[in-house]
Amino acid sequence: MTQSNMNPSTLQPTAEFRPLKSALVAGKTQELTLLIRVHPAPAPRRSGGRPPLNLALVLDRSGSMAGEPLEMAKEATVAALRQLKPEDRVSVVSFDDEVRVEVPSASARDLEAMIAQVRTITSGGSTALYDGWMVGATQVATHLNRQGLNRVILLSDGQANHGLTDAREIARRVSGLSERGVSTTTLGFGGHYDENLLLSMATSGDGNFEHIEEAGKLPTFFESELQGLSRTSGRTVSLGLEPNGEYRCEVLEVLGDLQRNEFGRLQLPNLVEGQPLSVVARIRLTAPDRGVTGVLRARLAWTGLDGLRQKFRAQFNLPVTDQAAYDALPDDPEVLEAAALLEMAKRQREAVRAMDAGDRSGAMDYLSGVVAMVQAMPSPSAEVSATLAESQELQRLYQDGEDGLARKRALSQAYNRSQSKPRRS
Amino acid sequence: MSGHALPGSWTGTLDDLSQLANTLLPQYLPLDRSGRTQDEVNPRLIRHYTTQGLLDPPLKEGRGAVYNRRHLLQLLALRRLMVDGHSAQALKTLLGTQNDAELEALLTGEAGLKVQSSNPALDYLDGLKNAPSRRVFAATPPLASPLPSTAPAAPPLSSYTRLTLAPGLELHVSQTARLPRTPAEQDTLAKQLLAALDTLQRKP
Repeated sequence: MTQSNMNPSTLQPTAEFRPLKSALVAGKTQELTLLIRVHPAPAPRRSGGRPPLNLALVLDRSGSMAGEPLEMAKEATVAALRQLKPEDRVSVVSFDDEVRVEVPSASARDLEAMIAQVRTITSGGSTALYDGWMVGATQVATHLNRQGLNRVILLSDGQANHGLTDAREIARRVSGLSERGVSTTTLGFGGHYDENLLLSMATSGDGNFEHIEEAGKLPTFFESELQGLSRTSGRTVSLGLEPNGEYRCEVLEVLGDLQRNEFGRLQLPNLVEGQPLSVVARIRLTAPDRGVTGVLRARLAWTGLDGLRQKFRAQFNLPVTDQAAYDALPDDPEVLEAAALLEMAKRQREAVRAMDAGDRSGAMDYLSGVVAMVQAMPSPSAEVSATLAESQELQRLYQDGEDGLARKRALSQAYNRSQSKPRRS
Repeated sequence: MSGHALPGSWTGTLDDLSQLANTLLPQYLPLDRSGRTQDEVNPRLIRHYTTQGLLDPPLKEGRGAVYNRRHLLQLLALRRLMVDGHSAQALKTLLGTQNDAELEALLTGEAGLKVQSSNPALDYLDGLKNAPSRRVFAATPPLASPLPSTAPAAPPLSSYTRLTLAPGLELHVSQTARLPRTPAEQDTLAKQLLAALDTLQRKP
């Protein structure tokens, strides 16, 4: 059973509720699993096709990027520039221990001159990652466009080791800027970047995080980031779950590693057309003896492309029935799968915690647990099977002592799952 | 100034909002405007602003619509800025994105240049650059602070630089003046300057 809110405007997202079972047992205190799926609205179609972008592409040119990585990063930048439209703005910044504005923020009209400049970038010294972000952010902020998408896209293969390096402090600053309209996406490249830093920058920056292992794939990631931006209809998205106190309803757990804002609401990724967002909650309540129960309300809020904050509430109801009828109800396979995928992601994060604590056997146990979960599923979907392959590969890497890479993969996969990111083909 | 103070927290109906706004509004308007009945608001006007997207929608829709302090701040700021000559269209994207403290700051009269050019992202980054230590940032309050604390503290010593733009036309720039940095801000300032000169020409 699904319920959707009805929205008169076609440019509003919708919320879909899918309970594991489509009823409650009369008069009983019980737990239920609920999948809440947010379907983003189509991105507004304008004469130009999409809202204008205001971007800074910030590239790491530290010594470790020398050779193919830097060349591919430059090609990726060139490919990104070629996708822009004349009404977009873009700047290109590079950093080692010092920061250079290679292309100051300008309309994307004279692309060839910009591209020629990007091709002159050469590799250098250490990694002033924060300073690079700062300069890129200033390029974007100077031309802040309230009707557009303002974003810093930062690529790094290393550890911040010059200037401000405290990950928590950097994330706090990135978050402060995203509250003021400029978001941040981070691309971690290779096996030596600081995944904790880049992941927390993306999470607090209301942007994306990507883990990229092969230099040859860099252009694809830039391209998909731009495509995502062009299909975005909302940012700084939050989901509040408001359980109905009348039935002593409470949210026991939300699966997935989602941050909460100062009101305790879940912070969701941007609303991107064609990418529904899934949140699974475990709820406890005491059902009444008869009738239809209002279980909870979901409050979805987002900032639209016009810069205005919007919100709506949708209510989720379930009918009550007797125990026998309840037991006969089938489980919704989609809910089972969504819950299982998020549960696997949780174990991967636990595996990483064990790795960090030096508990190798604990980490292996968590990873094996993921594999066992998938194998226990009756009819694994393509998505579940792909997750199984990833988990087995993680086990292998970790066994072979490739800890750094295993950690990066485990974290990025768990992140992708929590963010409902579609799998890349 | 009348003795009515902006409440620290408030909720009420549409009629309450309208009445309270009319009580508070005079103290935020220029002296020669305070007390003019055509500057007053009424429930119909407030609903109109809401449908135009100038105010956040009420907390509950329909008959039992509930408004809060933020709506009050938005409404007061909107009226004040319109009296200052800003078009509703120009304000459309502004009020919804300002936080409560920023709305209060608009009300207390740092309006002018800051209104049209407000660039919270750039201000924020400037703050980061000028910070002596990271402590400062941990403490940056993003939201509501009480009214008195948002009033700018007077600088202990004021120093001005005099620039001669043309014979007989000089510009005095305070050390503490907020100079335009973005193209939009520069544009706005240029227009303000020309408009100011224009009023001179019209005077007999």
